[in-house]
Amino acid sequence: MNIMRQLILSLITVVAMTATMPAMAQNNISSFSMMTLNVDGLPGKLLFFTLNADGPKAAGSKAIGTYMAAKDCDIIAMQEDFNYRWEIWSRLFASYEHDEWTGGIILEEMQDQDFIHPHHIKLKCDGLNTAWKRECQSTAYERVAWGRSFGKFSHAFDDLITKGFRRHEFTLQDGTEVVVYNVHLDASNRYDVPLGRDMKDRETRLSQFEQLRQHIMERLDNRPVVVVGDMNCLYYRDALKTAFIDAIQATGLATVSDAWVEKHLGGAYPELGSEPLADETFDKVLYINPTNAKTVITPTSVEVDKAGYTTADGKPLGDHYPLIVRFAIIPAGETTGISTVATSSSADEEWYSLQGVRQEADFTPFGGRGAISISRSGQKKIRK
Amino acid sequence: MKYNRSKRWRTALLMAVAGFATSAAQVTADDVRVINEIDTVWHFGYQGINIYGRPIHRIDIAYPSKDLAGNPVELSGYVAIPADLYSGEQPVDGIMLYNHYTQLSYEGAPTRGYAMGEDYIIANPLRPNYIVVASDYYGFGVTEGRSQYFCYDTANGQASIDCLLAARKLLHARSISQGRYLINVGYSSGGYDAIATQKLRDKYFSDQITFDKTLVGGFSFDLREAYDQFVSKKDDPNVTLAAVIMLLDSYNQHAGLGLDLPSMMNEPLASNFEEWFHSGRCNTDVVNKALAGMTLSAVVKDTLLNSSSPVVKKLKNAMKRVAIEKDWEPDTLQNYFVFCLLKDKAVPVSSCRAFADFLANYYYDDQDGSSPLFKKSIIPEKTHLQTNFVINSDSHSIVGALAFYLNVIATLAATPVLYYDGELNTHYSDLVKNLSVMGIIKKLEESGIDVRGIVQERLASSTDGGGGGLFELLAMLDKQLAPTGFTTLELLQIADDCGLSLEDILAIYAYLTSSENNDAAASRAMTQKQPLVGTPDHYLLFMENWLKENNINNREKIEK
Repeated sequence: MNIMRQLILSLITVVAMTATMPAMAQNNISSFSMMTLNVDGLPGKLLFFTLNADGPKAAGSKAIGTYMAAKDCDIIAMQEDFNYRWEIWSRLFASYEHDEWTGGIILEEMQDQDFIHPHHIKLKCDGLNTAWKRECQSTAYERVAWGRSFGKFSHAFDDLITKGFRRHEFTLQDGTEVVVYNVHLDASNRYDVPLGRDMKDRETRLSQFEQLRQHIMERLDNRPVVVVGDMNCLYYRDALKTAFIDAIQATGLATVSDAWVEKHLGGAYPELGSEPLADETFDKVLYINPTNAKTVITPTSVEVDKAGYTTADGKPLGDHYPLIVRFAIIPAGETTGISTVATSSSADEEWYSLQGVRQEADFTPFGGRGAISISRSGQKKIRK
Repeated sequence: MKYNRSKRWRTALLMAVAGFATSAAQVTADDVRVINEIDTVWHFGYQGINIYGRPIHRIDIAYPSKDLAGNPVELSGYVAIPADLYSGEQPVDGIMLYNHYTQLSYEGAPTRGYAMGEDYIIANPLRPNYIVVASDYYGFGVTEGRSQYFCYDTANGQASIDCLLAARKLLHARSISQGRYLINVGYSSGGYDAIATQKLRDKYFSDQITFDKTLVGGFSFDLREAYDQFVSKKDDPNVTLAAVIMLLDSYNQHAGLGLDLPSMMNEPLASNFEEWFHSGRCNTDVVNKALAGMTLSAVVKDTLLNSSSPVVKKLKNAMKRVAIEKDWEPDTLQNYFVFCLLKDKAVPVSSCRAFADFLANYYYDDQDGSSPLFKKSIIPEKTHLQTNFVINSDSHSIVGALAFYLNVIATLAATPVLYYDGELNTHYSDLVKNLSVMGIIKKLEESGIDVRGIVQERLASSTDGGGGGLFELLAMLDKQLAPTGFTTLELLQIADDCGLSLEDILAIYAYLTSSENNDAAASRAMTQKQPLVGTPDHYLLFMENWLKENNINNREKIEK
């Protein structure tokens, strides 16, 4: 009787697995999905200072958590996960594990700060958080602060917190091991860019990419590496390609690609100094395959979910859109039979600044100097 | 003062050569001697009422310097480190090079423990995290007994620069952080010395020393002007006299005038001159109290007051020979705050104002025309020449010093915040960039206040003809200002000190008294060639032409 029951159960299991693993299983390929999202978690106000008046705040952060849970990605890399940590996590804890939360912008937690000398204020938080499905395992974790940061009371205030990156070594459900970096680089102030005052911001990001590259290469083995996060950079103004992608490839130890560039631009990287692209965002997913890897990863779909990441009345949930990438895991040497999809959904008439930050309809830069905005359909418009 | 580019380059080359020679004469770390080391407490308070205290670790040093002839001399000074910085409990934000104010008594030397304002600055509740470096100057400390260089050439500036370099060596040798910022400060005669320090820095030490800000107050820049002002008030019993006597004494000794000064003085000054000014036992309070209520004309003879006397001519020639402005091309990347009480009775405001004007009128010709380099503004950090000559007081030592030190405190606290990212905070910079009286008027109008309507209504009700002419307005203002002790002309001078030129005022007047609803009034007033006599535009054009002919303080607009 027991033997019969076991046989029936085994048969049911095999049928079920076959049904849920269509094309990939036939090619010996498995996959995992990854989302990076800046959850816009700064509080609306701190004392008398307006920090993020139009941010999602508590209610919106719950909606963001609900959205992330519904997307069901294997790994979620969050940035700016500050004050609404528990609102977000309340929707994720059933299915996900997470790493440390280093705090928010909370007055009560700033008691040890030196307000007499405000230039020495440095909050410990990094705003980063990484979540992964309970079926996966994080076997090693490291948090690293940027060696160089810029902007304490200007230039996007990056140096007020301890920005940096987090490194995880994951073992996925199928036993594949991948290394994931969740990063948040220094930002440029949206007022500084049109005035050409963001040179030091760009220099700082460059040094952060160099630090990141060095950290990755010192630890590179035969496992694929995924670098995701809010990189605050755009190819037309930041030397990301030369300082990070080309520099790693030049070692001959690994190949590097930007999943969005590969799927949306056919692998043609925008030139430094070229015209800004309408659809490029600050959020990026870069993946690295060591040349001696036993398995490699390649993106099968890249989605900037503009249509789904909205409130009931159609407004975006935060000031960044989620970037979702599904990777195929392939034994090294087998790259056939993978169908790839590039998807992007959008409502066409929303406005972005050159820096890719979504703008209110009545936005005008400081001083009323006007700015070039680009609609999501790629049409350039000049707003005076 | 006007320089063309080629001259500027030539001068720069000469400066570089001279700078090399000076630098080559500098000392090694071994030349800095620690002569005393003490833990003490500085206080923030007034006359013994100490509100706050801050422990200080003070290191007295002897260091090599040179006199005006270039002869080597060892001077003394101190490096005062707040104890919480010395212990590493607090990070060091920077160094304040402090040029102390007038001292007569040997006991008043910094290394004798007599703090002169720097204690007030460092121990206040904002607790600036700065190390203080101060020289005793020649004639005090290890050179006690020799004649001090009171407001004479750049002698004390050299002492300050060398003290700073020595302090840096000491701090480096002890692995004590020097922070990111360097501030140069001096009030009263210390203001003169801070300017002398700045001049030497610009000429010879720009590769080693960069001041983030030089703050000076209540000092004489043009000493001939200062002397004339003293003489013009020779019958005023409220003028304090110690400083002017010290000035006479200093120039007599160091410029080799060979005057028998006591013979040119009346009692009680004549018989007490040696004791008061050369014994090192008296401070300026002793002198000022002894001479309180006496006028300059009562304590010195006419030969020291009469501008046509050979003695006064010799004195002024000496002052001209060593004037600070001589052979100085200011580094326009340096940042100044210049302060003086409007009616300072110890240091005439005009001699201090002369320094602001020296900078404001400093420009050079380039291919695109005249380039003004410093522009006065009362708004902090709006330009590299912040001014404040608006406080209507004559109290040099109490009100003046207090106001100046509060400004220094604010600057020390604000500098690491405003310049944290290596440039002026861009948000603040944007905020103040277009800040002007006309801008404020426009903002008020944007918020619904009919400024022009209010002004015109007042003018109509205040003048007989109801026309509100400019000179009627001035007369009316004079009358209304009488209780405050200001005249309209004084107010105009204050406005100019603050960076608001007469031309700006006239443009504002033209705008406010116009009934037109746009900017045309102001711009028309600037461009109309034959305005109707008696209209605001007429006065504006008249004044503009007058300013143009006299080339006064409006070069920027004239070039346009």
